[in-house]
This record gives sequence, structure tokens and C-alpha cells, in this order.
Amino acid sequence: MSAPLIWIIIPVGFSLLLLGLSRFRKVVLPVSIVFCISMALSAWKCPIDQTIRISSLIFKVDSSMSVIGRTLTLDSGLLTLVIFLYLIISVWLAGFSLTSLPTWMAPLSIMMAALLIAATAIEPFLYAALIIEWVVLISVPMLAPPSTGMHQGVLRYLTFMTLAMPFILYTGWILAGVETTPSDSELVTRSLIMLGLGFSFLLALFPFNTWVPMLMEKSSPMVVGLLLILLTAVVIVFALNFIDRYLFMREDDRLFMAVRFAGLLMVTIAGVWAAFERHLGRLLGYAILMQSGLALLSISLNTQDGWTLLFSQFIPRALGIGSAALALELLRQRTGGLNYADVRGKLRQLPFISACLLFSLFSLGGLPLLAGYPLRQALMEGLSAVSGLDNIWVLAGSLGFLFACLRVMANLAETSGEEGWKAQEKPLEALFISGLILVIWLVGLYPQVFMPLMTGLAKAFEHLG
Amino acid sequence: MNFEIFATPALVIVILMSMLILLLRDWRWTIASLAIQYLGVFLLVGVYWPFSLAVVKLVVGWMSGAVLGTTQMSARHTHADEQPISSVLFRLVAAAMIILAIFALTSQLNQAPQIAEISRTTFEGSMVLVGMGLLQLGMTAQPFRVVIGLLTVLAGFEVMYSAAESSIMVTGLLAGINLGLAFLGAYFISVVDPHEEEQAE
Repeated sequence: MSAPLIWIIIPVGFSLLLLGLSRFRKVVLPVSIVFCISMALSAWKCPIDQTIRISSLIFKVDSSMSVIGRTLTLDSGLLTLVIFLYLIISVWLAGFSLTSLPTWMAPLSIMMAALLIAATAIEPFLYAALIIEWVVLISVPMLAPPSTGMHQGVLRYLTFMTLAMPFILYTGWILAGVETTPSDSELVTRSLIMLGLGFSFLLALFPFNTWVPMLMEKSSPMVVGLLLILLTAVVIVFALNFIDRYLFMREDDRLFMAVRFAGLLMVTIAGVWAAFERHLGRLLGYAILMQSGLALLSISLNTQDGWTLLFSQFIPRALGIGSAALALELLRQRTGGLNYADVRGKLRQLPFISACLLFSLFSLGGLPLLAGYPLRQALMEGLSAVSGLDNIWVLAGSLGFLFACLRVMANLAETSGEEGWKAQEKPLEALFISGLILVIWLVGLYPQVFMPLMTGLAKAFEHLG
Repeated sequence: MNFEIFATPALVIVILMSMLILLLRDWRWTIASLAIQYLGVFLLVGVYWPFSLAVVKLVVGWMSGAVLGTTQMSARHTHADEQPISSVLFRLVAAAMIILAIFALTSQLNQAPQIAEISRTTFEGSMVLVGMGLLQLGMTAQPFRVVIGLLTVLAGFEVMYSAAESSIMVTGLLAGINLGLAFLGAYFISVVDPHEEEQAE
């Protein structure tokens, strides 16, 4: 038995089986949730490359598996990511069961998670670009289901993601030459530019970010939210593989300066645009872009603290985006649209959903005492050691976004004065949403408990951990 | 089988067909041009790969064309779009400029140690496909044409990458991506909103 078989092949097979049973929503959703939780639990408890004894049964889970001449390797560092991805999917599926989204999306989400794990596990690691493209292809029907139809955001997403793959594979090819002649500065520059372009497409960096708000406006916020949580986490791990592997990249200040510039640009632009936004879906899109910018800023520190910050951001980021996406999905189902005008005064009718939306948006904006704040503060401290001026841009972006959150709050709370409070959410919805709000609050209050959970991922990198 | 002698005819094929794909608005001609373009791709890839592996590109390309073609056949709007002569001329000039730029810059572009190992003809063929595919992507937002553009860009990349990589796994994954794009194109055609499609062009 091997780790890739357990956490990649079996989930893909299982999702195909569930896909065939999509008509039975009441069976598929609980089974999917239990399956994902069991995957996460097994990844947490199962030792790799060690003999395991369960009563008379003795077996060993190998970290590697050979597939058509190539190797899939899941070591203990990557298992942290496996736990994270399957936990995200299980919570997402629990939220999914509260919505009216089509059931076939549930198995597809499991398949996406399994393939993304394969992308981090494959060796040579460059081939991850190919597997990520497969995930993109699988995700398109979820973004444009037959009920809503195709729209330009999906086409742009498909185009940009597909263009990323050649750039990255081509860079890998050039890098082989850089390894043999590291003094060739022109080759190094060329490879860095191509790599930068490839990851700009994958991470939706400026100016290739236009599809994120477009998707958030037209597609299901829950689906886009999940996709961007999973894709961004895996693409960041993929990008770190390059930095970990190539010494010249770790030592090239130009690379980290460019990453810092891109991060500042993302945070500032997303924050300012968010302040003028009038659609809640697009607003969440800008929040996601801002989070990508913050991740880039953590990478740009190129220090032990920077890597720890980067991995620790995965949890509050997923929590904020996931909760906001669920709240938007539930709002959309009730109001028919997500323009500010559509949700005006909904706080008194939908207090739990509104509170969830506000808590998660404020958390993504970095409001103190919520999940996003501790790391934002730590990141700004780290940046101040490099350049105090950078923090002004981060602050400007954060303030812009917090201003947008205040506009949302004012809009939701607007009332003619005669309407009373009457919660229209179902008890299960209220319970689940309350749980999410509580977690956002707890992560903000006790960061020392939650943040180290993802730092185990650093073990997957020889030179970054 | 030595494919070196077919490299120049293959280059001519990909130039002509990629231009036809860009210029012609009738989907039947577009699919036919795509199919012939993949013949050129097969010949260019065959320079570096054994016949049995290179033929995968041809089969996958033709299957992609077949998937898109059969869906177009059953779609509601299958008429050829009327296009003013100025539109055709504009695309023709743009395509000519791309091709000229590629031929002018090829000698400078392929100086990286790995790329220098690729024959000039193959590199030019690859760049023409990438350039024309990108031009196609920049000129339309119609799902059918976007997918054709993406397939063309990928074909160009695959020609160049064939000199670097000949593993079965990569070939399989790339074949899956090409077919996946074609199926998505078919899906888009079947779910597209006709009003949005009109606006896209």
C-alpha cells in the first residue's frame, strides 16, 4: 500500500463512483463528507514509511508510487497539505448541503482535491502544471453549469489558466540549461520572466486578474471560492518548489523584489477597487486577489518567518473566503442577485447569513480580533524590517477593503425604521453559520493554537523549512 | 522513418492552415483547416519522436476536431457569419505581421542552449502556431473560436516541447488536455446563450 494510492487514486475512483450516483443527493453528500473526513483523519494519524501493526495485521504505507514511469511521492510534509485540502472539502460539502447547487459538483470537488494532491506529489515536479490544467478543465462545468450557461468570465479563466501551462513547462526546460551554466545571466533573466508570467496567470496576478471578479459575479460564489482556495494553496506550493530547488532563485534579490512589487500592487489595487464595488460577489473576488497579494508579500520576505507566515495564512484565508462564499450563495438563493441594492436591509431578515458575511469580510480585511488580523500584523512587522514604505501600500489596500466592508454593513443594516427582526434562516443553517463565525473569532483570539497547524508543510521543502 | 524531409512542407501547412483558421468564419472550413493543421503538427513532432508516439498528436487533433464539428453540426446557429471585407483584410494583415515578426526574430529567440538544439524550421512552425493562436484568442470571445485558438497555441507549444520531452506520461496528459478542451468547447457550444454569442464576435 502507498500514500498516493490512499490519498489520490482511491479518492479519484470514489468520486467517479459517486458521480454515477449523483441522483441520490441524500446519499452522496453525507457519504462524501464522511469520506473526506476519513481521508483527513487518516492523513493525520497514518505514519509514512513505517511498519503499522493493527492487532494481527501488519502493513507499511510507502510514500512513493510509480505511475507510467514517473513517481508520485507524498511525504509527511505534504500530508499536512492533504489534511488541509480534505478538511476544506468536507467543510465545503457540509455548507454545500445547505444550498441548492447540483449534487454532481460534490464528487467533482473530491476529484479536484485528489488531482491537486497529485500535482504536489508528482516528480519531476514540473508536471504539476499539466495536472493543474486537468483540474482547471474539470472545474469549468462547475463554474458554468447548464442551468446558468457559459459566460465570458469562464472563457477568460480557461484561457489564462491554459496559457500558464506552456510558460511553466518551457521554463522548466530552460532551467535545465541554467543549472549547467548558472553564470549565463541572460538565460537566468529569461527563465525568471517566463516563470513569472506562468505564475501570474495561475495566481491571477495583475493584469491577468480580471476573470476573478467576473467569475464571482456570474458563477456560484461557493464554487469559485472553493476553487480559488484549493488552486491558490497548491500553486503556492508548486511555486515554492522552484525556489526550494534552484539555488540561484533563492539568492536572486531581483526575484523577491519583483514578487514584493506584485504583492503590493495586488493588495493596493484590490483594496481600492473593492472600496468602489457595488456587487458582493465581485467584492469577494477583490478580497481573494488581496489575499493572493498578501501571500506574495510573505514569499518576498525570503526568511524563515516569511515561510511560516505564508503557510499559516492558509487557514484564515480559507476560513474567510469559504464563509463569505457560503453566505453569498445563501443570500443569492434568497434575493436572486448580489448587487448592493438586492441585499439592502437584509440584516433583519437574514441575521445569521448577514453576520457570517460581515465577519468573514472583516476577517479578510484584517480587522483586529478576527482570524485574518494576527498574520496581517506579523506580515506588516516583517515588511517594516525591509521597507517601511511598503506598509503604507498594505495599509492603503486594507483600509480600502475595510471601507468596502463598512459599506456592505451599512447596506445590510439599512431600514425604514418600522421593520422588526425576524430571522428567516433554517435552524441547521443558523447552527452551521454560527459555528463558522465562532471559528473565525476563535482563530483571531488564539492564533497561537491555530497558526502552527500548517507549518508542518515546511517539511516538504528542503531549503525553506 | 525520417521526418526531416517533411519539416519544410509541414511549416508551409501550419502557416497556411493557421491563417485560414483565422480568416474563415464558416465552422466547416475552420474544422477542416484544423485537421490539416494537425497533419503539419504531426510531421513537425515526427522529427523528434518515433512515428508511433507522434501519431498520437494527429489522432488527438483529429478527435478534437471531430468533437467540435459534431457539436457545431447539431447546434442551432450553424450558418457562416457574414463578415465585411475590411474585417478579413484586418485579420490578414495582422496574421502577416505576426508571421513576418516570427521569421525575423527566430534567429534571436532560439539562442537558449536547449532551444538551439531545435531545428529552425520546427521552431518557426512552433512559433507560428503559438502566435496565430494568441492572435485568434485576442480577436474573439466566441467559445468555439477561443477553443480553436487554445488548441492552436497548445499545438505550437507541443511541437517545441517534443524536442525536450518524449515521455509517455506527458504525451498522455497533453492528449487529455487537448481532448478536454475540445469537450469543453462542445459543452460551451451547447450551453451558450445566443445573445452572448452574438455580442462575443
